[in-house]
Amino acid sequence: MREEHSESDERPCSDIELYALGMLDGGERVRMETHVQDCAECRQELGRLQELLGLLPLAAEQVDPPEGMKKRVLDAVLRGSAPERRDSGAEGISLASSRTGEDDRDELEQDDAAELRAAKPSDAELHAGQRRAAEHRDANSLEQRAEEHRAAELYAEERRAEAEANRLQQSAEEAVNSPTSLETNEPALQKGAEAATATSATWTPSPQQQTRGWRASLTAVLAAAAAVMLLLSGVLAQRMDSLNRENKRLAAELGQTRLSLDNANSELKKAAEPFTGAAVSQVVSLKPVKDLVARGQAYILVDERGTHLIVQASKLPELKDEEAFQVWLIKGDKPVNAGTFKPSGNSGAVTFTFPGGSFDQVAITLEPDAFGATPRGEMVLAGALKV
Amino acid sequence: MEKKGEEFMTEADWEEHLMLQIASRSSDALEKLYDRYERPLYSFIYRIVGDGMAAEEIIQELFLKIWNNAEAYTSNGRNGKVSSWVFAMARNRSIDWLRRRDSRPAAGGEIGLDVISDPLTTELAVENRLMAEQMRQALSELNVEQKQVLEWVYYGGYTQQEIADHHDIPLGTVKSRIRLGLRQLRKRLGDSWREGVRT
Repeated sequence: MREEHSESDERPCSDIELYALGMLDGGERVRMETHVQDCAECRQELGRLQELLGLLPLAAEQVDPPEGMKKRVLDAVLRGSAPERRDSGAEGISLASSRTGEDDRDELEQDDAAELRAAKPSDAELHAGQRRAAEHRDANSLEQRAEEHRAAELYAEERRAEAEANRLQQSAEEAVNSPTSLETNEPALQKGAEAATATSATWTPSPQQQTRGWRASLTAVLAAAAAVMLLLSGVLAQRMDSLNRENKRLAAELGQTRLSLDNANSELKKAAEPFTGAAVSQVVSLKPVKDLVARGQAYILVDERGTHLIVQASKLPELKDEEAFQVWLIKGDKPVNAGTFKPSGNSGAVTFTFPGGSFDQVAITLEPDAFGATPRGEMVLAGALKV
Repeated sequence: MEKKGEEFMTEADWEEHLMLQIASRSSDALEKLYDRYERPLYSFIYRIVGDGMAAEEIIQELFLKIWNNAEAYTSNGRNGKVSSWVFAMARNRSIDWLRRRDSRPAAGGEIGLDVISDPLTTELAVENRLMAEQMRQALSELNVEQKQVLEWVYYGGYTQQEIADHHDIPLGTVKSRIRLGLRQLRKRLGDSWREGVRT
């Protein structure tokens, strides 16, 4: 990854708080990850900070969870993921039919790694290669992800509406059920009336009058229930409205994502076009750093697409196992990765296009593998660039 | 509150044990963990997203994740505390939600890290309750600027650069306020709570 380094010149140790809060990105984070492996003091400090941050949430003002949340949550979790289908769309992505179960697992693992790192990042779990692979995959599936994102949001909305509807239906049922209890009380009422007839000679209600009495209350209750239902349907209609609005918003968001994807594609196309009248602005000969016989040259070309660096080298030392050569553009003590290569015979070359900017040096190092973001190996060749 | 067995020395041990049971698909254990975290988690998530429905959804996602990933968590041989893991996931998801809606509280809003006077609930484990009290006390002793920056970072999910841009504070100052704030919190809480929390 070609990361711009921050302007901070401080030692990595001073960024440990920012790292613990997950506020470093790109090169800074990689630098800190590497540093923490080597610095016992930082590792210890990181552990303490993580403990502190793990407890900070407890200080939040306590709020009562909504009624019935426990049942809803646990039902959904246990229903949504029986053991035999653990890898399925329980995360709310089952709608994205283009995904395979394997992708899901990948994502779970990736998420998990990130979150476990948040809980305990001192573990050396992220190898540069894995990270690169993940980044690569991310870039490739941008469009797919946009679709999935939308599907997942819609799914969440749908579930929200469903929960709402269930709740409303329950209230409605309760309202409608109240008259039933009146009916069941009827015999008791009648008994009471009979008792009254037996003991009092002054007023004897006719059976019709009794019936009219409870019928009237039943009618009133039903009317009330109907009113409640009417009100609830209004609420539901409003909810539908807001869902429709949300749908539109998501569609617009998807449109935006597509647009940026189109832009990225046209950039890619441009990059594939041949050089047209590229001006060679510098030719630098690369000198061996130690008593090596290696030789190399670097060319800086400028055209309308940007600045291109072409580096070629020969009589390079033999590589072992996973080793590779890596080219760096250096400004002060900040190297920018300009690509890695494995020579054929003892010669190799690499090209790198960048937006421009000034560098003092171009160098080639011998690295343990082809996936480093910062130099780890020895410098082999170097040459000064004119700023 | 579930009564835990006497064989467990600390809350953390007990939670580790629950995670192991959850990994072997014990829904009882999941329920116990749920009971333990429902209120503090809901309060914390609600504090970030400010939306009850969203908070419930996030809690559901979290428990789904715990249910499906407990095995990975326990087999990883890590000794990070369950609570750190759970709260970190909660914060990540809540801040993602905020970013997706782009509804992060307007900068310059109230300082939520201020001393909170509500009584701490009994659902919180005793040692967590003690911890929360100390944490609130320590937070109340930070200066306004440190508190504010930590608030934006921790509950708002803002980046250093966003804070610098929105508030016209030099990036270096933002960084140093974060650093000093956290360092001071650590100092205020001292080592006593570490001993109290861990055995």
